[in-house]
Amino acid sequence: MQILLVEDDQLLAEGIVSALKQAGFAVHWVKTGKAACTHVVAEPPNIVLLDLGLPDMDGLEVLRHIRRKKLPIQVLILTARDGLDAKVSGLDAGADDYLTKPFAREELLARLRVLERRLGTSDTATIDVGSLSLNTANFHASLQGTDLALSKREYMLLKALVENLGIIQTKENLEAKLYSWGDEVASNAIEVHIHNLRKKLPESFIRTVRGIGYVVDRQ
Amino acid sequence: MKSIRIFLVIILIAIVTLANFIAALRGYTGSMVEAEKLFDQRLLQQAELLAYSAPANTNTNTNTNTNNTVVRQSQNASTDQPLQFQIINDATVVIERSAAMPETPVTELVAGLNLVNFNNYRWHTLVYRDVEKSLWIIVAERNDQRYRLAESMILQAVFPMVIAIPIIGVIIWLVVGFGLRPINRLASEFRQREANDLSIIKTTTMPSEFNQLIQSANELLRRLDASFDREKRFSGDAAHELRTPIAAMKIHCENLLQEMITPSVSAQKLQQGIERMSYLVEQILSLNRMSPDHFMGRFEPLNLTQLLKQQVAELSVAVHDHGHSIEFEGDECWVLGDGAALSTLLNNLLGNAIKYTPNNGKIYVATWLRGDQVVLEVMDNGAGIAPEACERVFDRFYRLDGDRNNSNVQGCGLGLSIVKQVVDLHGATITLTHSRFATGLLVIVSFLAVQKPIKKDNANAL
Repeated sequence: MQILLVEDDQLLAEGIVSALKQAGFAVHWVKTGKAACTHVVAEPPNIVLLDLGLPDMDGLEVLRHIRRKKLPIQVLILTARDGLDAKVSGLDAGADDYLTKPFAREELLARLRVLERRLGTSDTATIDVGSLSLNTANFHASLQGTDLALSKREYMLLKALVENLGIIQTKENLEAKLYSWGDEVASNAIEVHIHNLRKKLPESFIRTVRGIGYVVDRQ
Repeated sequence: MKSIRIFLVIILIAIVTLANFIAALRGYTGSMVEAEKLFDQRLLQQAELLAYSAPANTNTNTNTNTNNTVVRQSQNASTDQPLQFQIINDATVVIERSAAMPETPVTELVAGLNLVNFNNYRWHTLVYRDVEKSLWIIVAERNDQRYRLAESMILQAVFPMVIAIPIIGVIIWLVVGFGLRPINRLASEFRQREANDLSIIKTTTMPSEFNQLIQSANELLRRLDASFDREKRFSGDAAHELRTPIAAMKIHCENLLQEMITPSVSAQKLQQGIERMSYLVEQILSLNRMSPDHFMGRFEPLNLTQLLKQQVAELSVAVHDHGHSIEFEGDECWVLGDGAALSTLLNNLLGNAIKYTPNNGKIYVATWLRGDQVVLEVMDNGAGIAPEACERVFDRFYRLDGDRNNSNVQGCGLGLSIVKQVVDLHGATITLTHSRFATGLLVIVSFLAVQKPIKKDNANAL
């Protein structure tokens, strides 16, 4: 897995580089937007870790450059900028994810794993939670080695929950993931799917947070 | 001078009154002289008329006795009649007279004007000689009557000036008000300004007298704007400049912990220190960002319920680590607000509930629609806040007796100050009260409700 880190702060960049190396990623580090633009064309990485505050240009320019070239690269923005606006403009410009400084090492690695999984290489496609194993490459779930027969929507729900271990998924978020805009959603659709999922999973694997949503806790 | 308007009105009315008074006085004396001439002329005409209508003096030689006198009776034979007369023949016998006149000539028979006293009054008399008919004609007019008549005529002319003064006063009041309107406009221009509106004032719509004032004010506003800009840029830059090194420290520290097979206590303490500094920096930046002078938010209808659930989701790891149970209840509520500011408010309220409730506690959150109010509730079963401390908890860096809720609770005493600022920015109210659990704190924030917008607002889904 090739990662290109675009960050002008030496101290932070060195920290990220060693964290990523410890976690088994191959990292190349550049300091400027210009160098990044050259590098993504010459040796396209799988993932770009992009700081927005670069000395020579706005990080969003690098992002637009990558999107214009239609390169199959996942982009994770790292920024010290404030607020929702920066987040929205980053995602609008085509970023795949967004992380605000300062971030926890584990958070960074977890986000990278999600992006990695999206790239669909088989060795990284499996999510293991306790006795459950979810293969995101072939949409397959198994419990203690036994196959689980899941409907497409049940699988999508389970994936959303285990990809965000320990983080409550609100009902509205799950609905948005399951149904595209305009689809008619029955008010209890999520409850029905969760009910069906629970019958196939260990007891209290999916925890209900009353009035808010559902969570799969870290095992 | 308290009010330019009142000052101008009083001064102008005084000037107008004085001018009017002098004009009236001059007019009065002048008119009196004119009236005098006019009345004398009338006497003369009257005399000529009488002479014309008088019978010719045929019996000049006869000795006429007084009994022959013809007395002309008018309807009321009193001295109130404006004009009285005597017609006298050469024998100084009054042959004809008006009823109020005595039977003897009232004055010497010398042609001309005269002032005579008789019948208890002072009279203007005119003695007129009709040569053809050889008659003397005396026409008399009472002085007081003449005077009264003249005066009433003149007063008729002067009176409108007196009535005019209040009318002029009202007009002056209005005109001065109209003339001073640009001052009011300028004042309201300043009054209606938002605290963060430092745009310059346009000089085109103002009278030229204000140019100097407006130029100076604009100069001041420009300087203020520039310094606010610097301030804002500073806090923005500070955010960046502080977050990046903290991020670096944090990742190096976590790398270090990862590299050690058994993490050393010092490394763990170092990590705690970094976490605390990071939290403090974020809180100070929040407080700065949410201060009324620096607030740059955009108000739009927001789904508060959705924001609340989102914040609960973002804090789910902390909730779970403390073993708390959390639940939501209520209606879907929309308020007019700034997403980032409201998220900060919710984050701080929830953060407090999570931190200050002993492990395995209960947290309850709700949004209710109550008439035109949206009521946000965040309740826990922790130790709560004593009523006497409720006022002080909004003060910056105030912490409840240095952590009664035991040891390693991270906090810097800014959370509720930030919450209060966001509450104030949104025109909301905040109440701290007893929890409905046996112990604990209930925070109630009331907003004004707004209608859910028809168009799906996807900015809010983030």
